[in-house]
Amino acid sequence: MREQLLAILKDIKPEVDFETATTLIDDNILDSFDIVTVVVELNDAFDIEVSVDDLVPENLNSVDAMIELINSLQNGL
Amino acid sequence: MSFVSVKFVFFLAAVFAVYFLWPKRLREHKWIVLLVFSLIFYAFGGVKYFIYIGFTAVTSFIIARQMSKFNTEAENVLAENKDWPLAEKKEYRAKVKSKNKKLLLLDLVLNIGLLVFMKYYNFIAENINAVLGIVSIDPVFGELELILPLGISFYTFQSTGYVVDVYRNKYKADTNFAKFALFVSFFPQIIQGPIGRHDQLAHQLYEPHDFDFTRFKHGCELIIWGAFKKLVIADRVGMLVDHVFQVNPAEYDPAFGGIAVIVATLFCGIRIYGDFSGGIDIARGVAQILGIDLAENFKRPFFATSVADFWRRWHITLGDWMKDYVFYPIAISKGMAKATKKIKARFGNFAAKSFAPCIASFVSFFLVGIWHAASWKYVVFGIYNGAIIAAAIWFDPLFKKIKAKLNINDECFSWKLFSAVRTLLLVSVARLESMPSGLKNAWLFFKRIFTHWDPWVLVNGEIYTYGMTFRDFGLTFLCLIVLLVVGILQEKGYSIREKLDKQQRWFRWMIIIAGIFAVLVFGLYGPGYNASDFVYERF
Repeated sequence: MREQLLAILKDIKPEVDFETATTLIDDNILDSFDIVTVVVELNDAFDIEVSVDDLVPENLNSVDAMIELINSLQNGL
Repeated sequence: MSFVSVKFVFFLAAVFAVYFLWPKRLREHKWIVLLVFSLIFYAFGGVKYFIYIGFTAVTSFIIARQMSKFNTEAENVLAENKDWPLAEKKEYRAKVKSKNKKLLLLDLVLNIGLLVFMKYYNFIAENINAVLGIVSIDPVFGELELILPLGISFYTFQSTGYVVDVYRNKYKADTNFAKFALFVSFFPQIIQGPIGRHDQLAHQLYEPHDFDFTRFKHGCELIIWGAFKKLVIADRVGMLVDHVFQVNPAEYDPAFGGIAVIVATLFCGIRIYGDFSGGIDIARGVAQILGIDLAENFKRPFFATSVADFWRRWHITLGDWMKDYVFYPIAISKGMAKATKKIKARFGNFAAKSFAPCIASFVSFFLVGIWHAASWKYVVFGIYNGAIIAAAIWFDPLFKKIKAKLNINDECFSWKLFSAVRTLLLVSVARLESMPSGLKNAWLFFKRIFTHWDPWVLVNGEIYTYGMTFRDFGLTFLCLIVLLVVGILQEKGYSIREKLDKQQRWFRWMIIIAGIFAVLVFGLYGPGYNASDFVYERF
């Protein structure tokens, strides 16, 4: 899952080092347009439904946070 | 009651005296002082408007409470039935969500409906009648004498944000109506924002705060800075802006050539910034003294390197509100996902990726435009901004290619300066479009830039007859240098007020006294020592 997610993110913003970034939202590395693209791709790739309620910095600031979000949505939590 | 009036100074003195001298044994009830003074402040704008703000406060409170009750019940049921299969849990959650959705819809109909009716009824009626007139049908809708209640656009958005957040189960609803009424009506922000979020603001309002000298000092400095921007800069350049734009360009030929229009347009940006951000600084300064931190609404917008960046720095709380409650819900909706898939199949990956954000951004900017006022010029203002941002996304790959070919370094100063000037021009076109009375006049002014080119007015002294004297121009120039230096320092991460704290006492006081002196001596005061109204009060 991690590799697939990294590939999606790299495709959207190739210049960002997603492996180490932990403030993707807080530091505006991903803007609102990027976030929409990320959500659309995640929904498609992992068969989940990210809702507006999930769009908080804690869920999107890093790759690890995104993996946690994907897992929780896949498990219906 | 204007923020820059003698009345407001006395009002503030009363608020601070009562709030900070409040008996210690009643400390937990200090918020009542803020509520009472907020209601008094609102009453100065007209007691008859209480019914509107009261309606919004009552309906938002009741609806959010009911939603919260449903959410809590659902959490309890799910906690008691952990062994339910996933499908059953999902079905149960969907049922609760559906009940809350009906309540949300009711809130939107009642409160956004009231705002739309008060603000847009006459505009909509006039346009429907005009369309019917084309096909020779008599007007159906009569004009109503509707006076916009003070701060309706701001408190409606603040309350609606709260209800939507409770619907999304972001936090629980308020349980005390009087406290919630304070959240809706807190006096520093009721007139022109910033639009607060319940989870960031409400607890600060409800908690008791003791007098803190550092906060008092910083708050006073912010108030002086805000008054300086409003009274010394905005109201001064506003004289030229009003002088040029309040005439009918069709009737004033050959007065006001292209230079007057260009200067008035640039000054218009400075005026609105000084006026609006000055008012927000005063609001934040007052709140800071009371121990409350209001959200930032401006981050040096004229340093923006793109129109999108400009909107991230200008009226931030409205932009964030639109992003959370309009942009994202549209952009990641199921309908949009379906449309994106179709576009991907037909037009490829890039078109698919940019489709949803572009449409959602367009709708958001259209709403930002008409949020200002019910007028076609604001419809165009919104569409123009939305179109520029959409175009920037669509042409981004092309721009990147051009930059690579020309070996342009994005990070160098000259490119940033070029980008900032380009953004200023693009934003100024929107201002020129929205400032004169009506779209037709705006177009006539715009044409004058190209058809009545008269740069000699800058050197033959004629420019000093457009509402601002030579002295006004000189003073404005000096003030803009101060504004620029402060902006550069803030952009580099310096906190001016914290830096000032570390200076020698004599130097600190010299700066503060110079600020007060500048506001008192160079500020523009109208009859009765009241400055002109804040522009955003009208919205």
